Amino acid sequence: MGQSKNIKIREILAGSGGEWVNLPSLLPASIVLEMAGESLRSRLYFAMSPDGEELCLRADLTIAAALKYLNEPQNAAVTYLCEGTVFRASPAHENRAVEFNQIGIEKFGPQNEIAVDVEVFLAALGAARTCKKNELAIEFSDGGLIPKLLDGAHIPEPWNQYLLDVAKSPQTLRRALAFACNPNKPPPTELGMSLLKLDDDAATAEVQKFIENADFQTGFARGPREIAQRMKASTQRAIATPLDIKFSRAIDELLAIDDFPVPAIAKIKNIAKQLNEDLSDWADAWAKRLKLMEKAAPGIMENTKIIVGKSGRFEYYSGFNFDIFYPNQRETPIASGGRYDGLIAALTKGRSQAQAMGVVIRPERIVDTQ
Amino acid sequence: MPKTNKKLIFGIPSKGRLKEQCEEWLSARGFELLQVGGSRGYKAKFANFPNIEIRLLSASEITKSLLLGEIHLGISGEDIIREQSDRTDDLIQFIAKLGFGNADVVVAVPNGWIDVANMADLSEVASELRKSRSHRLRVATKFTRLSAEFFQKHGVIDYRLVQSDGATEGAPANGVAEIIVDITTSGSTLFANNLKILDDGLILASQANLMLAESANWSEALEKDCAEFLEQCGLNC
Repeated sequence: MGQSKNIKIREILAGSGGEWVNLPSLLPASIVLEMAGESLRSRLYFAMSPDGEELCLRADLTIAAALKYLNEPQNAAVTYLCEGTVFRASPAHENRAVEFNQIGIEKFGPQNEIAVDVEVFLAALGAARTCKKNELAIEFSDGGLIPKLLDGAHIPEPWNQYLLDVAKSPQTLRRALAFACNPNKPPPTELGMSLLKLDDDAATAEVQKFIENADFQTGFARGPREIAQRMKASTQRAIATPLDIKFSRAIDELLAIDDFPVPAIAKIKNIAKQLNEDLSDWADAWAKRLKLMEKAAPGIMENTKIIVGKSGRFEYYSGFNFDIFYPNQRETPIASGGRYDGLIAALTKGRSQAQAMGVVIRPERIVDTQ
Repeated sequence: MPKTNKKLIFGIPSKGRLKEQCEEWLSARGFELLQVGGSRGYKAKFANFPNIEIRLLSASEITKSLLLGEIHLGISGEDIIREQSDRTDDLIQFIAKLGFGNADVVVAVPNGWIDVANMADLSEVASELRKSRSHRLRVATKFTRLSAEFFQKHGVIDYRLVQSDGATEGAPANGVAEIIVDITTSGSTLFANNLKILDDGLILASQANLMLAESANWSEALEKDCAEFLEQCGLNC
């Protein structure tokens, strides 16, 4: 049954075209950790190449596919279909399989974002329904929502930029909000206060002088200019009017949203309105996405939730993303996918950009009850 | 099925100051260490407690053997064993802190970073560096597990660990990393290398511990021997 199930899944994923490709199992560890973040380290298996380079077994197919895409002509639109074993160490107290098969689609290059989001999601849904009798539950999230909201919300400076810088991580954002709203911040330093009166060049010179007088070492990736700029910014935050608590409450409320798509979007729009931000374009795009999905898979939204503060994704997911699982089994999704438009730029340090969307299926989790 | 040992196996550091301090600690409790095969041998025994087989091992071999249940008791650093496994608390019973082998695992940054005093500052600087230089803050360390847990606890995300197995304090000056996580006793080596410890940068205040392997092969007789040994040391299991 396993083989025929895999064949069916492959057929479904290949339904909208693409090329089956082989991806390397061993990847440079530095690239994987740079892209996915150190939180992945405890799940990786490491190896050493004969020339001493640290390698790791792939923990997903996405980074391997993205590295392959770098060899394509600039701006090529490609669809990779891929299958293979991936390796993830099981956390303590969890008895998870450490190597398992994934079958996936990875789409890179110019693309109609909504159409591709829907196409990839429906392919994953079709694959998850390979064994028809099981009900499925679906969770959507949007890695771009909070940064977009903060970017447009009328949050007074210096807090707007401060919060935007940490918007990608709910945990860090909550901490930053707590600090911004705190009326009893530690007082600024004398040096910080004196820098506020100076322009950037003079502030840099002042910091340089301070470091030299203290017989400290300069350099180490951050020079007096960066240090002076940050000291000015943190001093401004120390003496600024604390951020109105309503912003913190609104963001907390936003991060807590866990609801069916239509009410969830209404709640998100409402919170944005409280922050004087108009999210109509964002909501319209979501409505269009949902309509196309509902049309192709009637009734699917009855089992679908939008979870704004969803965690546990690799860091590079930057937009629409989803998990498909059996009800009450959200920790073991059958299919996980999402948009990672920043990955190619991150891999090339900004020299290339490419839209990207992908999904992987875990065939062994699809239970046959027919 | 592992072979049942007839003797309690006790791992003790094989050389250096740590070995001397272990010997002093044991001697103060009436146990004289007799090295088998001379001072270069790797086995030893207690004249007054023949049911203990002593293996002289490196500090990291002792902790590995404890985690694998290959020895029953061992003396080594808490930092070493906690770095080796995230299941330490399931597998190991910490019987006693021995008051020597002190080493703090700390986060240290260049002293010229006068705007960075704590982990919250470091988190901000890491994010700034990633934005401006398109790579994460590099942290040189041999304590990758302890570092990752500590950084996560403090909400630092934009960093990357760089494995360093020696002379870690030189990593920033050598351009290998921007900051380090390393052990220190007095801080003087860090200071000499133009580094400072963050105010809340203490990851673990480690010292030598007497540890017991829960997963070792314990017979009733061995449990009794162990209880007797610990009692003579003035300890309880």
